[in-house]
Amino acid sequence: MLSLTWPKRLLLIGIFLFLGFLPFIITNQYLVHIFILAGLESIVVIGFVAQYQVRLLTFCTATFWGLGAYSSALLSTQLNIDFWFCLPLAGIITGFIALIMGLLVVRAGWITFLMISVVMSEVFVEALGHISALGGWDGISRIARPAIGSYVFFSKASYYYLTLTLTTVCALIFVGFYKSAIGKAWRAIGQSYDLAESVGINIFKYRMIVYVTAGFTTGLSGSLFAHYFGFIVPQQFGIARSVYIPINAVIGGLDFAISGPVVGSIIIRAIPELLRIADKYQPIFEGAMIILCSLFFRKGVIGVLARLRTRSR
Amino acid sequence: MGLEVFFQLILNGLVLGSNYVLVASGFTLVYGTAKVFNFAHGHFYMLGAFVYGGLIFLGVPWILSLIIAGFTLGLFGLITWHAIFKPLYFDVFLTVACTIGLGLIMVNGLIVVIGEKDIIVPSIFKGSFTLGTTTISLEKLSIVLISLGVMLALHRFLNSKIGKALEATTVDQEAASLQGINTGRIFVLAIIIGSALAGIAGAIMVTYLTAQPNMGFPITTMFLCIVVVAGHGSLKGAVIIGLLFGLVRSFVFHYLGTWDYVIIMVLVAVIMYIRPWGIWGFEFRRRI
Amino acid sequence: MGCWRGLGLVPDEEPLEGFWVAILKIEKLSKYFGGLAAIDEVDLEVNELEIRGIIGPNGAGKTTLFNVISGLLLPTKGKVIFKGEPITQLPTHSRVERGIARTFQLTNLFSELTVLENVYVGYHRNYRQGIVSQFLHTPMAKNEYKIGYQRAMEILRFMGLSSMQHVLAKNLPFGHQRILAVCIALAANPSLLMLDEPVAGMNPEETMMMVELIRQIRNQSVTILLVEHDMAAVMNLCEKISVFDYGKKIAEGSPEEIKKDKKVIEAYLGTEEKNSCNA
Repeated sequence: MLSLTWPKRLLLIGIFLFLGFLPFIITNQYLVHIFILAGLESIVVIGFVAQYQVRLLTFCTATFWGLGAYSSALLSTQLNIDFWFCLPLAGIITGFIALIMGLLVVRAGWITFLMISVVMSEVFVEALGHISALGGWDGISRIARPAIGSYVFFSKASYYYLTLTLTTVCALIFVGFYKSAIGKAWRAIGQSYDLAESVGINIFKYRMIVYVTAGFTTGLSGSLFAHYFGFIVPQQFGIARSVYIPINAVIGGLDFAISGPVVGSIIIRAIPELLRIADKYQPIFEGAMIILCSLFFRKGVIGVLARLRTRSR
Repeated sequence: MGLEVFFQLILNGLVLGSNYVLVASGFTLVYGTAKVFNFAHGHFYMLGAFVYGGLIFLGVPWILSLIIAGFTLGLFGLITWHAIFKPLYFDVFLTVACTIGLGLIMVNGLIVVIGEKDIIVPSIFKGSFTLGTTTISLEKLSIVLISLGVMLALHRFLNSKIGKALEATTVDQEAASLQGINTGRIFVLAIIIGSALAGIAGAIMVTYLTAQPNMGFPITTMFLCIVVVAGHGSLKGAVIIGLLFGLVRSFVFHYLGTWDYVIIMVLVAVIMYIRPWGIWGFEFRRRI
Repeated sequence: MGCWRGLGLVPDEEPLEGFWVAILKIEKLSKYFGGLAAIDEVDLEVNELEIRGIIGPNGAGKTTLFNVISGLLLPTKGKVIFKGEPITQLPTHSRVERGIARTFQLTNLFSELTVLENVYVGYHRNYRQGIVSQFLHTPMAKNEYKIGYQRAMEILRFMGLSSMQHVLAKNLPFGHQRILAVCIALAANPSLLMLDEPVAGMNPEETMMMVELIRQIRNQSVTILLVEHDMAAVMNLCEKISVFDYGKKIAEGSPEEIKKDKKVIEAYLGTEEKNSCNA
């Protein structure tokens, strides 16, 4: 819950200052790169947590990410559209596809929904791979970098600020919903499906709002991802990617819709780097973290911090 | 299409299918009976393959290796139950997340130890024999027959008193416990047997495919699809759909190449839409 | 407490036409589960501002009836007509919009929310602002939220829970949880309030308090339909009673009439006999 008391406001300001000056504080370029990835991933996780709140368990977050990435890449490489238009367009396209899929799938029970998301994941990757017009298994490369006039985004720092802005925008979109009656309706649906229905909440409508919004924001993230990396291949957006998204959510804390995903993503991406854990041990670290968190820190890292604060009072 | 090709496709389908059946049956026991969503079930399959392969390398006779592989995975399932499934029993999402993590550790732990290479385990049943104009590979036949043997043993077991208790718990856990069945123990039993089945399935297939740490992933999507189409809790359904999927993939692959996977997926989506609780499943009274 | 209409919280409707208009009408309603009829060709008419009781032995189909009326289940046959319009196939949330609210046999609350938040969520269906307006937090949306908050506080005061407004619902004692469930249903501003065993598990004092509260709710222009096993409460509270057995309505009338009805006595005595045989 985002009730802003003064201590919390100060904390938020401090965090924003740190994040704002991060490229100057952290000189290791690879670490900045990690934060960029964490930021992009946290957008996807925010969408996931929102869907989890209304009891929609998806395993196709990577699919929407890929839809955003591919739409943006295709718009850029095939139609030479400027990045600044590609980005919102990719979001809108992905959101629209989410709308269509949602109309078909959101009404179904959770197992059907889950399985169809799994199926969508696999079909998406296979379809992309088999259709050479979309780049086939080699993907799309030489995706144009963002540019304003003659300034081309090149340094890690510039991309970092781009990511920070995008993440903030997406977070604000969801905060806007969470603080309204729509957000209350979402929480109600998550707490008790029957009771929410019985007070007149149209569960389908509110789940659709989550689904489409999450699709939109995930698409935005995918678009920036494509333009940052410069090339994309279908395998990046398969079910393996989707399946590890919940890990970030749990580690951050499922009850915390914005800070959870962000913190979770940063922990998963940055800690192995900071601790100098070799690449090949990183997944083991992730797996161990999720098991530990599920068993002992069910409210996630933020939950632990919250408990420490209430105890110190 | 010549008769020769037809028989080969059937045989290939049966090989794939019987493997799916074992894994899917295992998962049906774990999920349908104990209601535990073990996302690492496919990696249990992988572990069974490696245990079996390792034992074969050490010269242990194949039957013994198979049994030991089954036991090891059964034990592994038991440990996982106590460590993860029981504490998280009421939280489906956390169970899924945790088993995803477990899978990560299993796969990457193995990669760290062995590296990401494919390991070829020499076949036990080499050679083939001819039936009329068709050559039947002994290895493929052995896979089908051994799987059949395992399923028959399972079937015998399920007709016993404990088996009936298992079935009762699957259909209605509350009613079963009111009948005096110790559902807690049934859960553990289901998980042990289910995990063992996955391990045995992996062991059986490892000589035909190669052993590699990532072999659990493709199996995972397949068994999820099978169980969901058949209806969770239905062993009969798992068998029929498992074999069906194997045959479908075999035939489709022959004509359309790697589109077979997509076709299966689309089929699954359609069926899930028309009949969300699976063909032999019980209707959910209300959606969650 | 003041009339809720006066506060502008109830949308303007045609004035009530008196006590003899049937606000809820059920025609030949049946619900089959497989081959078993949970309710069988039930006809029922509930008049506006009545307090109607539904009683019957266990398994008579009372909760199924509630579920079909509120929309959790769709009937196999028959019609449900509310305020003159058929609602048989409508989803639950549409029925709530038209003015039906209910409580559940097993207490159903938003356990992780506070008492106040629970009731506040219940007010949800009264919001008229659309998605965009709510997302942008326009002054009109914010005004609606304020009204919703005020209404929630009023209901809590009315039902006697205002001192516990910040307690988490799951931490409430049992009796208060049942009252909270009624508060949530009230927040939806219903014309028909269906209560499923409102005094179940309550001691005599709590029961009396609840009975009195229900009467006062009715006096605020809400028709009451309730299922209950506590005969003292039913006879005390209800103006008319419908008796069910094996999915069929076997009797209907005032409490006095029902007490003397042979079929009713048989239905209940029959159950007692069966029970004593098994004992």
